[in-house]
Amino acid sequence: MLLSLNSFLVLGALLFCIGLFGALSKRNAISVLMGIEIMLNAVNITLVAFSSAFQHSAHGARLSGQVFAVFIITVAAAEAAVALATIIAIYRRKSSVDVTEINMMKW
Amino acid sequence: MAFTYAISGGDWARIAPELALLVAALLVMLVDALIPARLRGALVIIGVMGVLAALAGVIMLYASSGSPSAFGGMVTSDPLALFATLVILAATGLSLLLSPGYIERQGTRQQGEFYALVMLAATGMVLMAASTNLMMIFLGLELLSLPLYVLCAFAPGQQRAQESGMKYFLLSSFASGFLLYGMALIYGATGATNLGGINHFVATHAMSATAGFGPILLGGMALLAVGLAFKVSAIPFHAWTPDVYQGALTPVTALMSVGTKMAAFVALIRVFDVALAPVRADWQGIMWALAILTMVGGNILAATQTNVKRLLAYSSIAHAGYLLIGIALGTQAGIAALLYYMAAYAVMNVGAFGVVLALERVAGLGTNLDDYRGLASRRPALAAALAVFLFALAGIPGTAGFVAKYAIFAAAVTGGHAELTIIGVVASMIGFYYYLRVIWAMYFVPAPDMPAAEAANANPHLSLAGLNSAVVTKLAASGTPLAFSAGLALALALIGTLGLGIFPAPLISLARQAAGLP
Amino acid sequence: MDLASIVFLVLAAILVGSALAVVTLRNIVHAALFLVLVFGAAAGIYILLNAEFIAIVQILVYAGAVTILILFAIMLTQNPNSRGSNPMNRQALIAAFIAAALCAGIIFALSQNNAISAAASQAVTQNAGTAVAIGNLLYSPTSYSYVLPFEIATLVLLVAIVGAIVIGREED
Repeated sequence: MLLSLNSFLVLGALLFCIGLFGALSKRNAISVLMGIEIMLNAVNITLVAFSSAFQHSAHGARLSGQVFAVFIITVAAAEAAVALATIIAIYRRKSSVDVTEINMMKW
Repeated sequence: MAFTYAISGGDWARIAPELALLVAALLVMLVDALIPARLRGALVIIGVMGVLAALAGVIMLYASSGSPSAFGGMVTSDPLALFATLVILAATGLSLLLSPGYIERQGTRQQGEFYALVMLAATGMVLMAASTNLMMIFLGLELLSLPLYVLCAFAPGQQRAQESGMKYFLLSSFASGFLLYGMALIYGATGATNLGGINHFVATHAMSATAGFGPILLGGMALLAVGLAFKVSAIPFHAWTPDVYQGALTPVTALMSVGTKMAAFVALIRVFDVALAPVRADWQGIMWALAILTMVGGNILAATQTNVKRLLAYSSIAHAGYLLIGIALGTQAGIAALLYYMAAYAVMNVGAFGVVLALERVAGLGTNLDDYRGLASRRPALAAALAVFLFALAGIPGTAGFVAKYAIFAAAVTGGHAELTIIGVVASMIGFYYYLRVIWAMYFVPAPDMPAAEAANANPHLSLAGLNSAVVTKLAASGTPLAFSAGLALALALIGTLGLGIFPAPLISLARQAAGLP
Repeated sequence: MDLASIVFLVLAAILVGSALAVVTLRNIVHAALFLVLVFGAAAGIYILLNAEFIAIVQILVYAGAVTILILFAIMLTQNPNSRGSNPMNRQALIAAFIAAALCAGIIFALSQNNAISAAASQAVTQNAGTAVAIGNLLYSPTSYSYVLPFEIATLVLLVAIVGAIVIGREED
């Protein structure tokens, strides 16, 4: 039963946490962004897996997981464009994209 | 395949306020391209008219009858959404009025884009408050966040602004990741993304932490709570708030501190207090702990600040703590108190940021506590206005802040959580200290010995900003004159702060209606 | 073990392995290239889940557009030959602890869960033509309408265009 729903969900959880680690542990703003993209991919895998599993459920929301994933992909692309424009603008001024001072866990 | 177009004009009428704001945003961009650069300051008029049109839309929706739900249960125009829309419109309108003069002073050339993005952010806030579907909550949140990232990075030539935009972006999309994972797990546990469906499923299925859909739902709720806690800047997810509030242009900070909070709190109400009400026992503890941490931590951290903009940022964290009491209670009285608090917070906080903005010089200078020394003798009207706003934020009787605090603490007592009231009152006492510290500096501490002009000339940052010293001397010595629209905004905020404090009844009844109370 | 299970195992190994490479490699260009592998393997997972439309969108948007954006940003901001171009910050240990704890928590929740089987019959079911179904959901609003979210998504893209231009414009 490798193709059970749970194996996909565990895969999503693993990916989410790897992305989380990347987002929290990196100093380079682009690397942080890559970590966040992995987290969003993990969410999409989870959503699509649930959506496939719900094919026969009574709710009218059978495919809403997949539609949700489409919107997440759209928004993630839009965010990436703005983020990278900001990173380049900062780099032009500062010649560095180190985000140590952009510290996620600062108290 | 049959193509049934089931969206009627009535559906669009249900989102009239959003449409008005959106049309204003698009008009600003269009007109911006057509008029000469020196007239661009006038674009704010289109924005204000958009806000007024949206206000008319809200009044129309209050008067209309029929089912408030629209677009197949995606959005609603129920009293809760309309009340939140009013608060957001107030914050947007005041922030727009504060902008002319100020953003030119900060050297912003792209005024058209500035106003267009402010209007788009407001559209996102109103949409998020109206959402009744997890998908719409997410999209509304992104529509409000994305313009704010850009607006935070807006001040040209200021590295701090761009870094604050970057920081806001990274932490916010990080939080979006948590939010989305939480939504995915809730969708998996309940099979629905619309809040009605989630509520139906949770109410009709036995849930517990160890059986059924419980574990996944519990995980989803926790992740969603973390995601939204980032957005309302609850401790321990507040790290971005002070830097972003300090680095951004002040009108943007004012809009962000009120609008984002209002939208996110409505989402919290709709998801936790309404849709997940049947499993309240499972999430109440998280909200309870967040409320206490945020109230106490926000006030203690605010007391250590020496920059007024930063102090107001920590104070906004502390106020998020009081507001979280309303969520943690989960009662309708708690929600009504939260909504009234948010309305009061909108006028007093935007007002306080408005005074900060009037005193702020280029590149964020002039926002330190030392710069406020002796302000009462130099700018008596501004000092008095700031004193009123700070008294209101502290919760002195006669102001909106007192009624709001009283309402939320009373709701906590009647809701059976007297401990939240006690902790809240103690935290407010700490709050008195730092608000009074600013007032003390303004009224009872003489201005610094060194004339401000010399201090400004000695400051290397100003010469870096590329201004000739004559201008700097003039700005620093006389202070910048208050633009007419900013004066109007401050007067409106002042009327609101005192008016809501002395005649709170109409707005309280509106808030009670929004919370579903008679 | 059937073919689908083997494919899943291979894809999952690629996904986890290359995701780990993205967050641990010292050279940021290598990390970005492994990110392409993550995106591609995720598309494979979507095909395995019978979500062909998502798989194609994933390839187009993530593996195509986002990767190019990231590589451009790296090209413009880094010296690609520097080995230490992707350093950890001082809190990497705390971050690892947080990530591991969250992972353990979620997987524990998933393993506790037994009712999913009732609704979902454990196995992932077959369903043909999801692209058509998604298109119908997005454009023909019947009972469950996605017209409004679709319009809002277009607004988000508009904001991204305006924002990228505003931020990226050279100040003169």
